[in-house]
Amino acid sequence: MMSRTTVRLITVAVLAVLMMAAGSVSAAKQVTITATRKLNYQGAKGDAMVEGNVRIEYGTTVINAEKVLFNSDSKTAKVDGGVRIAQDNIVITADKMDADFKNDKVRVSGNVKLELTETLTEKDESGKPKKDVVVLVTSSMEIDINTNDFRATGGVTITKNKQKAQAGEAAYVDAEKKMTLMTGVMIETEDGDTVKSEKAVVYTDKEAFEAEGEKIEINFTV
Amino acid sequence: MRLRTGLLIFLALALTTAALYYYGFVAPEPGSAETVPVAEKDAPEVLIRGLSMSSWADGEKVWEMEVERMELPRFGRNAVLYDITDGTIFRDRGPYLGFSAGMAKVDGRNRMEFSGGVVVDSEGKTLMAAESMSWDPATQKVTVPGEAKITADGGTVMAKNLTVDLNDEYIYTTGDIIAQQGDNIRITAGNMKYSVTRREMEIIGPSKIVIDL
Repeated sequence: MMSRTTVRLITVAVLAVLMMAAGSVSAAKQVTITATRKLNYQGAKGDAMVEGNVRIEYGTTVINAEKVLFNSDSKTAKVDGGVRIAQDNIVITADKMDADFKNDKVRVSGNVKLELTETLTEKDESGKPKKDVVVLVTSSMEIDINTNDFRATGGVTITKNKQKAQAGEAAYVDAEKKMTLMTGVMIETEDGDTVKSEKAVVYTDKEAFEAEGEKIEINFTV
Repeated sequence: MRLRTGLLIFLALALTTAALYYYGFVAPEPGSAETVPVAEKDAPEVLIRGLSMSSWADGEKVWEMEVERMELPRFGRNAVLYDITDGTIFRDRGPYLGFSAGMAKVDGRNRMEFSGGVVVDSEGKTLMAAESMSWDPATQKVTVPGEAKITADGGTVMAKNLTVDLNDEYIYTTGDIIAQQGDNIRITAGNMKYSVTRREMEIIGPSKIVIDL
């Protein structure tokens, strides 16, 4: 005969397993694609070509395009004629997109423009938190749609208020609100002063930046 | 007792006994009265078992099928075919679609109304299943008036009604459709066009795809 304690332990264990199973079920992700004009679907290949006001919803990410090729086997989406991606406080527009929903990765290229709206701790005259918009322009970018982190390559120009920065590459970590600029970094301040370095860190929620590297060149007007 | 009275009593008793015997032993139970056999009354004028049927136009075979039995009723011209198997619709001198059904009624213009588990297959695989289907060889139109299920490449499409124009390669559905590919993809849309040869679904108008990752 099992003791009462053993029975209780087994009951708790079974409940825990059931709760974990329920949790894994609810954690299942979905991609929803809607279109207004046309859908061509080849079940054998898994290819779905959707056209006309295409909207892809994946978690908090919303992708808009005119034409999307989606593969249901590889869970990938491809856009060639202009795309807009909105996720939380980030909006990206680009000519092309390759999304991999299995691995939460989106690659955009061609006239890539990213707008990152940051809510600051400072408040405006009406008492509402101030907002800063960081605009990043590049030719190619990879975004992790799970973390909002991204990496831009092929020349990057960043504008924040009246500050401007240029670099070969940029990597952003959303959890730290930290954008690291690499290769030929040049930062131009509001007053027209310039800082040149091999590496610089810009905090999107702060006014400060840090320049790093063996050779840092600062030009300022006295 | 007078002789006449005795005879009357004897006759009454004899009739009563005879009546009791008839109703007790000879007459059938109520509700089991003997009637003319129904089967014989409704029997067809002609009954043919085990048929291979085929139709030809301009020297080309249009369709063929195996029929377990064919009945030609006494009244009216419509033939009834039962247990249809190995049906084939030909296109461009080759087999295009296969079919089978529980029964079919054929009218004077050779239009066929199939029913009883209609199955249409393509390249040996089930393509379409429906409870009933009509086929007009003159117009080459196949129509499923009720709900139809299209199966292809691990996917299914449920449609409210369906038309196949055998002159082209498409199955047309009208009304809302729900397509399911495997366990994780669902497509909902309005009208659909399905290419039998390319195995491709085309939807004109709004559509929604939901994919479980």
